[in-house]
Amino acid sequence: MPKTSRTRDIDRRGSFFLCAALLCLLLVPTALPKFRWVGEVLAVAQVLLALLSFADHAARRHRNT
Amino acid sequence: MNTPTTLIVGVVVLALAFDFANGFHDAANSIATIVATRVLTPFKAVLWAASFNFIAFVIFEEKVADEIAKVISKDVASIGVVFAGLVGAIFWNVLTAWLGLPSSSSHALVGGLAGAAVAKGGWSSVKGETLRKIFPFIVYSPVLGLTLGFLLIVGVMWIVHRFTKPKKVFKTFRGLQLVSAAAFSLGHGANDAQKTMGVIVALLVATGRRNEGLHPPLWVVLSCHAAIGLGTMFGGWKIVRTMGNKLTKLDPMQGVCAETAAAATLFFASHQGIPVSTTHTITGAIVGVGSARRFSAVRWGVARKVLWAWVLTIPGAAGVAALCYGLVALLS
Repeated sequence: MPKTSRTRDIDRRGSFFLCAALLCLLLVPTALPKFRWVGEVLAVAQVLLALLSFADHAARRHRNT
Repeated sequence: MNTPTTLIVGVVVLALAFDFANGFHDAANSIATIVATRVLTPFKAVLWAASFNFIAFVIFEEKVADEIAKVISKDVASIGVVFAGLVGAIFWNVLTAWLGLPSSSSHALVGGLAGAAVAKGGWSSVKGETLRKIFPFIVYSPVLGLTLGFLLIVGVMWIVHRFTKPKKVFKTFRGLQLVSAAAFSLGHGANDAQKTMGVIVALLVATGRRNEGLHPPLWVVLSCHAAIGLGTMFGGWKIVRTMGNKLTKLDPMQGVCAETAAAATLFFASHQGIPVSTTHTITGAIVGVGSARRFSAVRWGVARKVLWAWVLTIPGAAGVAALCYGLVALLS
């Protein structure tokens, strides 16, 4: 039980970060020019977190098999 | 038309009551972890948080207050609009508290003021530039809290795992919680008390008691910080017991990281003059800290409710305020 549910959990975390990145990017045009960098930086950070999460997921799966 | 002073005083009292309720409701955010981990007793914890709520005015400029005061255009600003905006925000907060939705009183206030202004003078009576400053940060502030929370806990765990004495680590973070809770309370006081200041300034400008563009007078600054501090003192210790580990179970280390991340986000927002939701910011930070350990450690039902609150609060409070303004206009 722990193996399958944990695998799915980490996958969901990466997808969640990607969704957050997309949301931040979508809001960039609505922000004042002075604050557009906030959305852009957050989107990049969320993509990086998603990549780390996917890498972590892959490493765990590799360890478990 | 000259507005009677008693009416102005009545609306100022209503605004301060809104501020008091904000402190009453939000105190648990800053002290839940120090009480849950028994660093301080509930009474000492609320005193701690209330003190930092109050002294925030010494550190932060009133940029958030200036921004809130600018939500409605000067042409439509009147005591009726400010009153209806406040009633809309208060009604929405009570309704969502009853429904169990973690809505933001800040978003409700902005929605309420905008709704009442639109009801009086149409869409052009709301300042688009101010809304463009506020709107993206409804999403950015929790995401920033989440990102900082995640990075902080990963960094701290990476440093701490080298220590072989977990007891010492636990003790250190218990102590550090005092600092992080104080920082969060400072951020809460700075951002949330200033929203009420903005409303009072808008009222004073609308009734010709103050010129536009000036910073809030000292009595407004002190009364708003006192109201939020007193709200924290009276409400916190009652709510904190149930709030405790609502979103995810936090240990002292996670508590420190979540509060520090949220405090940093609030400091940034207050410095830039952006009104943000303290509740959503700490929620984002807690989700970030919780998901670093295990994604399923976060109670996603609560996070989903926050998402619904994002979508519904501004239009909901705006609708109630518009209705209220309609009634006020009809009666006067």
